[in-house]
Amino acid sequence: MEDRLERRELVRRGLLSGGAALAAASVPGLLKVRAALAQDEAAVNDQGIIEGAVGLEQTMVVVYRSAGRRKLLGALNPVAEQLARQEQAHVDYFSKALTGLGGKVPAPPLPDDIAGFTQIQAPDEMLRFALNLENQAVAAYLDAAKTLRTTTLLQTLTEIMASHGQHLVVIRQALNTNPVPDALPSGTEQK
Amino acid sequence: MFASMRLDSAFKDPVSRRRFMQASGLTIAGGSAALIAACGGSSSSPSSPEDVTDAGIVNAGRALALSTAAAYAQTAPLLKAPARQVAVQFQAQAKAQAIVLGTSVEGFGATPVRPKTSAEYARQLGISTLKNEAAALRFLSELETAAIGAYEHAVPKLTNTELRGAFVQIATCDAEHLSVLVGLQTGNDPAKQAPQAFVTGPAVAAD
Repeated sequence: MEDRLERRELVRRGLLSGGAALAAASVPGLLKVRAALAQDEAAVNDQGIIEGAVGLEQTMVVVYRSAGRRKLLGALNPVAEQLARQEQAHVDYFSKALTGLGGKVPAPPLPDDIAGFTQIQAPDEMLRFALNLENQAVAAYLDAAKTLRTTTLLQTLTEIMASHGQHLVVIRQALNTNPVPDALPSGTEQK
Repeated sequence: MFASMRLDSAFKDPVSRRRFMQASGLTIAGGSAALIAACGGSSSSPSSPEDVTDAGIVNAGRALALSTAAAYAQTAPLLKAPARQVAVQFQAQAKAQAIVLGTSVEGFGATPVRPKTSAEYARQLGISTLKNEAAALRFLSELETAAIGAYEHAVPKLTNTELRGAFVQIATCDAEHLSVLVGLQTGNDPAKQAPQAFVTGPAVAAD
């Protein structure tokens, strides 16, 4: 019983409370959440998954916009606003879907709400932060694709995950690493 | 009919489109017809009812991955560094995807679609008409775009959630491939490598 409650709490913190929690999580932390999700699917409904997606995308809007203004994205500074606008388009899509499922769109985080973000001063560090965040998005949407019961959301969710894949490519190239390390991306690449 | 129109829009260039479809067996193989049906929605009519099973759709996905791997292998001689190394890596990744999908097909007790010969792929993809690196990169970009659209359209049709996951992963990997290919053609311009919030296949003329 206690274990079940703990799993529920992990799911709540990881997916239901949205982007700030996900952004603060390390990748191993996310895996813990994903394991919880797999073991306790009954506790997760489509509304909760989409609410988590809204929060995650809101976090990425803040990260790209704020990091771009601070010129902390290195070679990606010129496209920071483009990336932020794409994340906002994802927010808009998931917000509409969430409302349709009877949910309420959460308030977007402030930069200070995103753990560790405002302390970053170096472009390489910020790019690795963005890499981590994009990988968490891929991992979360991979789980969501397997879990969502509203199949009408699946195709667009795939299109959004593919967009995150392309973000990962330009970030990896900015970091001078292999732009496509996995034939089956799962969001768990080593940094 | 509608399904065919959707896949017909896979390539801007109708000749390239026809090559890719032929090379993938999309117009003839029973299993591959499932992906056409999957891509075309419920209004389409697969050649036989069993074609729209998960096994049929996954086998069609395998045919696409095999064609993609063959296209990289066959165009590699036209490419110079660094594009050539990219093609070698992407060929291996497409092959890995085909193997994973083939294993899934076997899990259903079905027979995975077999790769064609190099000569068949070369003829059907029209490799001999590609004369230089620029043409090869454009062709590979169109091929990846078509594959992204096909896998994305198929995801909601799959009933097995693990297979959905595999198709989502392959669509994402192909979007990553496309981004790198665009980078090779634009001097790695990130604005052009990640141009869309929603990475879709080619525009669909009719549904």
